[in-house]
Amino acid sequence: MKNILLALTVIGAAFLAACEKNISVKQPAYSNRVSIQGFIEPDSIPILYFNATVPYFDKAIKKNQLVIRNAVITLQSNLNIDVLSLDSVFDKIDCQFNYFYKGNKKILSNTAYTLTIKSGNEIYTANATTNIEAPVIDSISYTSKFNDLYGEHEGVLNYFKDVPNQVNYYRFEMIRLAGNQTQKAESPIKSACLGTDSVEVYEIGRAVFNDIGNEGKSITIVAEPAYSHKKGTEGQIAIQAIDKSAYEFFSQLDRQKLAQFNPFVEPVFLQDGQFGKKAIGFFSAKKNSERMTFTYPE
Amino acid sequence: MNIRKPNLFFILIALLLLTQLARAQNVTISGYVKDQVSKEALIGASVIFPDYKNGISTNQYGFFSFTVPVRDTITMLVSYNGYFPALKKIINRKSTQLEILLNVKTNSLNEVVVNASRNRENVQKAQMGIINVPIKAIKDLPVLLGERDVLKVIQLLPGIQPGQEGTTGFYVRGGNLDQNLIQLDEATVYNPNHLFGLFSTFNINSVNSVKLIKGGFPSEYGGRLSSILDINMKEGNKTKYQTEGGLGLISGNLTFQGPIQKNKSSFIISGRRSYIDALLALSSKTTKYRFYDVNAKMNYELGPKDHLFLSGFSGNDAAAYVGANSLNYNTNFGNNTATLRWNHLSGSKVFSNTSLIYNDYHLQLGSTQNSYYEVLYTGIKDINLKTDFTAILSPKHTLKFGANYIYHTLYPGALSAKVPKNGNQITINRDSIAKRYSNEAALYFNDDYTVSDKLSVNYGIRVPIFNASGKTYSFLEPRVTTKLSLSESTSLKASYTRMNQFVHLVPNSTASLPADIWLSSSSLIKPQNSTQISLGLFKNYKENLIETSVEAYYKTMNNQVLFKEGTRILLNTNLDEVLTFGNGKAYGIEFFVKKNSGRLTGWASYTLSKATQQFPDLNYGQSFPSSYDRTHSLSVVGSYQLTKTWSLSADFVFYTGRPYTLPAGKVLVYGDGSLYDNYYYDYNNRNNSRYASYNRLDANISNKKMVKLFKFAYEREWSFGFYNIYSRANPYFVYLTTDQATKQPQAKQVSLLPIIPSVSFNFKF
Repeated sequence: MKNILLALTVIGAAFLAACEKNISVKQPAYSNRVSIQGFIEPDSIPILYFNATVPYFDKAIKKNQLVIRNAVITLQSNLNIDVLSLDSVFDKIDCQFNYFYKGNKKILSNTAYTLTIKSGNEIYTANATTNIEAPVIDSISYTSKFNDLYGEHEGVLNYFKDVPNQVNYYRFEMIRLAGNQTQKAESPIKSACLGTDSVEVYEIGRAVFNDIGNEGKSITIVAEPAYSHKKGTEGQIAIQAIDKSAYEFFSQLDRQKLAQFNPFVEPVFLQDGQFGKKAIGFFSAKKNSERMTFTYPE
Repeated sequence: MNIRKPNLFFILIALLLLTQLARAQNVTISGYVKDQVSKEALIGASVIFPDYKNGISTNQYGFFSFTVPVRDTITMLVSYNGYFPALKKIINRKSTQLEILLNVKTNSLNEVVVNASRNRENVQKAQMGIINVPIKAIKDLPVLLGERDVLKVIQLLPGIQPGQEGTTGFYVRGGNLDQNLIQLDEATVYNPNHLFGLFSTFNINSVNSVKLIKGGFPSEYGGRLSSILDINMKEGNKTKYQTEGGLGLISGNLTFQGPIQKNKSSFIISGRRSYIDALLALSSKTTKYRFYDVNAKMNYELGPKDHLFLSGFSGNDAAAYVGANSLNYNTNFGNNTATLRWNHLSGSKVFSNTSLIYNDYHLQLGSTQNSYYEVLYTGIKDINLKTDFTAILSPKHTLKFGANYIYHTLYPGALSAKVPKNGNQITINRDSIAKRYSNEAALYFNDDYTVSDKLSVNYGIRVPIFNASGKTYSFLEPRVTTKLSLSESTSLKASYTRMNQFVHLVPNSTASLPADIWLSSSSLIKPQNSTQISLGLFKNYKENLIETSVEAYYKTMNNQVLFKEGTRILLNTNLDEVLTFGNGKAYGIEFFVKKNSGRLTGWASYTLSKATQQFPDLNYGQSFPSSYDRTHSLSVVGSYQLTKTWSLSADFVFYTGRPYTLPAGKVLVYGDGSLYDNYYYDYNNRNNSRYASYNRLDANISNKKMVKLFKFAYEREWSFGFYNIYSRANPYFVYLTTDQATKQPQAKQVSLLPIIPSVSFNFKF
């Protein structure tokens, strides 16, 4: 499709001279909501991001401007209750602190959790159950040319078998090192806080997959790397098994992003999720597969 | 008291005598109005009977019939725009059939204008929302790349909104593109575009008349919700051979016409072919493009009461792009139509036309990449049989009734496979596609009833029936338009119409895919329907030199079709899964001023309107502005005869920018949003923002005169024009990006057509 668009553009450009300019547009009216993003995973300490959303053209984009402080956040199961508190880590690439609410107790398997957030006069609640099985990666390979909805790109191919007897949703995850010389998309990272250091970065696949039609069968997920690499660059790859709430949320985001590639396609509105109209986001369970080391061949 | 009951026999005798008396007191004047030289029928010519303060217009075959009380001398005044009027006196006190020939006016600066002859049909008739577009205006107006275009002129009329910049698509009173029925000699043209919509397929040299109906639909028209564009081809010169043609920047055209049997039978054949393919071949090895269209028509007068017409049209576009690596893209689309018509006159009061119509539209779109190819094929083929009767029974009643039946065959198909070893030919055999069949039929009755000198009413009913895959729909469509004359030059009109539509265009108003995919109604896709009411005040000034009108309308539309959010049509998209259905509403007020004759002619139109839609699956179920809602729409069109040979024309348009959807909020993505640019968007309202307003001025100057080349005299015309003369960067689309330095969102506007000069040369002999 991308190529057809390219072809049309080329044909059009043969006759017509198009021009492009920056314009200022009026900010549409917006009633700010809150954003809640949190995964719970067995044997991990729970982490939850609780932030304000802002009007689209608002200049407040620093994370310390967006984090909502003084919220009372609890995570309750039938066995215990954990009170999450605000914490932060410095992100050298972003050159700013990441703010999140962090719990104290490790998440248990096969347990139902209820998240409750009290902030101002509002209360937000959602549930998730940690009964997800993770798949086992069979192998990983690399291709320099792969064609899909996103056009032609390089890809990391992940082969694994669907976990049988449950509805599964998957996405890709890779941890690797990146430095100032690494390119993200088309541009070098160029972070003043990074110097000559290399830090761990997470590459999360934007596309999410379900196992419809592939129950118990072999599945291949192709991930387009976000960061540049050289021959020998290593990454630790896992396949995330996520629950339905996360799948629906990220599936919407993926379709929204795809729609943005074509200005003639109507954008995807985020439908109300676990928090209704009051908040955007998800509270979900996930389970990562065992990590596998992958080395870029080029 | 003994009262005797009247004898039935006497009553019958009395009625018969009265009928005979009535017959004895009336005469019917009928006939054809034609061009003096070519004997071409003049459609919509005005036939006025001043003594009776009444009149009629010729129909699309140039025929008229009018019954009036007998007099010693009956005077007729016949006029047609661009022709000298003719005065006829009938003194034989009998019903008479005439052939009235009018002489065309030459370019004279001292033109004599007979005021009484000017048409005041717009005020007199019980019809509204109907515009006859003068062919001269289409020929005079500024052009894009030297191509005169019918549809570009349609976009300048009140209540009509253009589509994308530069394209011929038009939106009528809040309706979508597919709600316009475009007919060429009664055959439906499903895709009237060349060059991705920059030009229409209609070659103006072969067009006789153009009529747009956007409201107050008479019952003979149906099948679409928003408009009928009725285009009739010329019949051909019955007295002498004639050749005309032209060369523009990207294409050339040639028209040849003449008698087959003098005064009885004639033909016309007209062709247009692009030569940009030759230019592209010099400059690019990767891009190919060509288009052509051919119109042909012949007619034969079997006798004074029977007339046969056979016409056909074929148009095609083909484009291809061969990428440097492995991309291969091609598209081929076109229409073919054929119409066989038989006019028959029964007596002098009943005119009938029976037509057998065939039309065939196809579009193939394919791409090849990395040894894989995908092909989309879509097509629609109709066979249409219709018969229409017009019975002018008395001066007060003109009855129209008829029936038609259409057999639709739709070809939706797509395939994807590995390129065979023997090459990469990408074609689909149409016969191999699973076809979808449907039947559409309609009966109608219409009466144009003059109740009194002041009041007339045009009322009728249409009964469409549709069947596909075992599902049948039938409806009643009442139509009524009334006219109340307030004075000789002023009238007040109102209309009510209901319409249904059974074939739907997938709403591809986007540049994502140059595909017009038609679907017919089924159990899943319900027929679209609309109800429209309108009210208008019509007034002419200076003895009809200037026509003015104000029309207000309110239209509701049900079962509208749109894509679900985020839908990108790919070659393998299952359309049934991506469509969503809802309702629409449009209302507005249209102002129109038109000057019909003199050195300066033209019109100005202004529309204030609002069009909204509401879909359960879109915009959280809330109402939103439709994509082609334009609050303000202004067009000013003028043509000025500078000298006998030079003329200047210009048009100016201004539209409120079209709505589009901007995100209202943004949300940070955590846990690495590497592919999200760190944010995702929160949308709260569809079409919550608008592009900058659209405005443009075009101008054209042309020189037309008779010249001699080696003693051979011919008429030639040079035309020089500028499209978008002040090169305004009108928005084509707006997209959002993130400034990498500031990490702030940035809106970028893409514009398509800057100032574009054009030159064309036309000749006629």
